[in-house]
Amino acid sequence: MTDAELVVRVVAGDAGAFADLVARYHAACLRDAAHVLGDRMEAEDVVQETLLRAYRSLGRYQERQQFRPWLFRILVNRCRTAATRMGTQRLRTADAMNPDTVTARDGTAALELRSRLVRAIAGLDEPHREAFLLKLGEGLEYEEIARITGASVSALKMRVKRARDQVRERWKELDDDGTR
Amino acid sequence: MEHDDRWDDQVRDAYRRPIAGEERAREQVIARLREEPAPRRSRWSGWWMDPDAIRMRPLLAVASLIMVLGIGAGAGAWWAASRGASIGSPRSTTVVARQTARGIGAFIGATAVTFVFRAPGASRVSLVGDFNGWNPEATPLRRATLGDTWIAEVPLERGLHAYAFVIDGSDWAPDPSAPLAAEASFGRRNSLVVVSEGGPL
Repeated sequence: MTDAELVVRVVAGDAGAFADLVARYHAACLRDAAHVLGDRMEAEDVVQETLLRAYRSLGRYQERQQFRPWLFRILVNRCRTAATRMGTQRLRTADAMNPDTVTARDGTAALELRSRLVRAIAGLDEPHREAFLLKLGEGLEYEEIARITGASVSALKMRVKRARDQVRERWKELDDDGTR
Repeated sequence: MEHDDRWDDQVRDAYRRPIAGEERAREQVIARLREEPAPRRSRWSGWWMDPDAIRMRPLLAVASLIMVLGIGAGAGAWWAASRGASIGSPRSTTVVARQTARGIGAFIGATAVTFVFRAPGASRVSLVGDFNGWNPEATPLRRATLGDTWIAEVPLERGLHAYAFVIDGSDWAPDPSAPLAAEASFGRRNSLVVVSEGGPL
């Protein structure tokens, strides 16, 4: 069943259909929020708030809109609000993300890999981090990211390029130094 | 360039590693959602308020109008012919009156399926299914002369269709006389009808 069909069912009174949408998008929302905010617990709160807001606003949702960008737009806005509230604390990323953010079956190599990503993106400001994670992490198209963030496609391309260059440089430093 | 792609893949791999406790967090969200009142379609939203929803050339608009009138005339003729038809089972809720569609139904290669539902005390009943986007406004049933019985005739493409009835705009009920779909959400299951060349099975 498509997202749009599930939304129609929810609005028609079949509230259980929203559980299918949560199952579909919760993991993606959580990993995006966790990386943007660098704080696992804060990310969980933001994702719960996002899905609650989406559920309450579903009556105003238009079928011609796509559900994923609509949901991610709410998520991005919630993340921005949370980041402002958290202030500079949020850049304690690596400590806040590890080791709880990898599953037990992942092992040390995966832990190290995620730790390196978290440290590498820590220096990016909010707009660059948003664009970088939605593009490289989630693999979304620029047009979709534009609908989510409200930025133009050309601005987003520029942000992703700058972010990518910066993250890559930092990634290489971490590679050379081990655990800087 | 190939080196860049490998780096992108490595980053994506790191980013997409499952987050520990994601399932627990998801269950918490669902538990929290259960406390919320169900969302309702906003009165002033919907495709009819959306200027981009319908774009039609004038000739196509005229043709569509003729088609709609044709459907209305066909349904009216069928309704007149089928009035007084008895319901198969005394207490129910049955898919009956299988017949090949006349008029527009036959024209689009569909088969008319008549849905009959008994709902004592209901003020309105509609049919939702994969054929109408699960939209409770799309296919209202008409109250039959028997009072508690509601009827709708729907042209359906051949194949398997899932459906349910919506009573008074909010209560979803499967058709007890039809097989149920295996897939359930929050314990709610839909009915199934198979439409073959000769009608529903």
